[in-house]
Amino acid sequence: MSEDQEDRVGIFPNWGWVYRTVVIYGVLMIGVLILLSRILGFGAGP
Amino acid sequence: MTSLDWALFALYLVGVLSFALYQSRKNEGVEGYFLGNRRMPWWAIGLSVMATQASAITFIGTTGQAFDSGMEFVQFYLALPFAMVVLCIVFVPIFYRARVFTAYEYLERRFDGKTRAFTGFLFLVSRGMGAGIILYAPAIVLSVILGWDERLTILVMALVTVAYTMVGGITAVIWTDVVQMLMVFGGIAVALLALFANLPEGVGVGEAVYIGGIQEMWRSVDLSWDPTNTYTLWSGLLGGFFLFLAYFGTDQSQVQRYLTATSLKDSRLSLIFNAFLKVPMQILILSIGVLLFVFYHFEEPPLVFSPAEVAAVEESDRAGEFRALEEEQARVHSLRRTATLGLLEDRDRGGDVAAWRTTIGGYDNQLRDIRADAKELVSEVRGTASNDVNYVFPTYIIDFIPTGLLGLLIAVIFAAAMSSLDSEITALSSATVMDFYRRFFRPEESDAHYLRMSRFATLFWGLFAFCVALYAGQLGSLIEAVNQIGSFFYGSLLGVFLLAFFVPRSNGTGATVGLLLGMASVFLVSITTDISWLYYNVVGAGVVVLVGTLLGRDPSERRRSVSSGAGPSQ
Repeated sequence: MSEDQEDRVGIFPNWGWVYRTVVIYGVLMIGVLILLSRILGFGAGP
Repeated sequence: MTSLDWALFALYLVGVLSFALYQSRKNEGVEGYFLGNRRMPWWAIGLSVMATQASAITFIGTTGQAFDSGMEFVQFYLALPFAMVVLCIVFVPIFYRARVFTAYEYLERRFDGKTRAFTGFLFLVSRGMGAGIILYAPAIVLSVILGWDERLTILVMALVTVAYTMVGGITAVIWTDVVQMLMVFGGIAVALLALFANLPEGVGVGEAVYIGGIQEMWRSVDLSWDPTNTYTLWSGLLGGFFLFLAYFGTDQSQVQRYLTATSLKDSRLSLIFNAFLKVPMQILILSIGVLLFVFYHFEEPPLVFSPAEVAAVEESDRAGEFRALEEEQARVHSLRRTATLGLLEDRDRGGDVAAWRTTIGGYDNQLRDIRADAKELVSEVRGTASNDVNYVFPTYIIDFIPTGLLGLLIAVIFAAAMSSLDSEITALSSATVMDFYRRFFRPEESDAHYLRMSRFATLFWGLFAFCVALYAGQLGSLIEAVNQIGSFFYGSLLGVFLLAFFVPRSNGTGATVGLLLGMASVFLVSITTDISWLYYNVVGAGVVVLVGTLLGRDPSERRRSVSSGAGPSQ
């Protein structure tokens, strides 16, 4: 096994999980900002 | 500023200097000076990485930008978490295992000396300029607040930063960055709380968010495909991704940070730390700008925030036009204030607010047009673009922040600037000594000799930054200026490293020719098209990889071995 797979990183079993978490976090961040852009756009409505 | 403000500010300067000297007492030799003997903890490196990127420009320029155009600038940072993952998987292991002093040293092992020298030279030029702009930003604040001479302010800042960086090297830099970054977090919190506290009675968080939303100031994502628009989701994800790969993966000011870690795991953790914290931090800083926009619904803002620009127009023969615009702004502002209070009252009563929103939106647009006309007038009178955006936040803190907190916020702006400047000059010093002086001029000298030269190089780059800072005022929005300077070099530099990592048949000649053509392509694109500068990094990197791959077919040149391994899987 490579070093990437062996190392336990805090609560994560290996680095692969850390990277997946960061990617999901990044996607969620974009989603939340898109949502907030729509919800907080009070000028657009009637 | 009161005595209390001065005392807090002085305490910061003396404290940071003493702390830096105390932390650097165990430093020995060049490895200690540039890499902290590779003993730094990941969280300290993580904060230092963040502090290096978040300069006073971030605090001043970004808030001003959000005041003028809302949260859209955050899109620039959305690719950062993804870039950090690629950096952790590909870049960090290669640099860490190579046991190099600089990123460009790796290129000599992979390619040849001329590639190392060329990339190192580009770094020195671009970041030397960047260091000057970083130094200039807080000088604006003090020139506004205290009426200090800008040049004197620049000199004082450079002296303090260069002093502790010269003596303590990277250890002093990282530990002071930790303190300074914590101060920046505190400053963001103080600024936000002070803004809410300064809103009129009855206007709380919900009302402030609502008022900002009327002009869509919270709109942070633009899904349009227009490549000439700098701040869209796509330019942020694509252009920003390449820019962050280049900045964190090839810029010595960042690479040097994670080379100081005790292990590869710690190096990676320092970047993952940033992957999680950077975007929320930018959101908070931009929110300060949007809340300033809301705040100035209730307090009449200056038509132009920069006193120097106002003075220039008032002394010109177009002063009458400026006064007319001021009067017009006062009139429309008063109407908007009344309408805003009326809207909030009706909203509380559950009444119909649609008409109010339309009216306020109309006043907002009128005020925006008046401000744009005033800025154009300033530009015509002075013959240079208005950089008023950088004066919005400083003006607010002078006029509305209470005693004590004002001194603290000034210290925070200084901390942000100094934590970036120290990193830049220590990185410039390491590249100068390790990539040029030791490599090409004096390869066999003692460790003590190189340490002496490193300190001298730090002093030299501090002086260089000072000289650049004297002329930085001619540039427009500082935050954009720094990133634009980087964009002419960064993409192509990234291309060279991508060649080294992923194209086994590439060689030094291909990398160097590719680098030249990459930069030429970026220049050509910048003068012949209107595409956003964020895409320049993609163009530069793409051209270098293409050219380097094509020229790498030469069978007579064997790929040089790399002692540490040339791929991410090793």
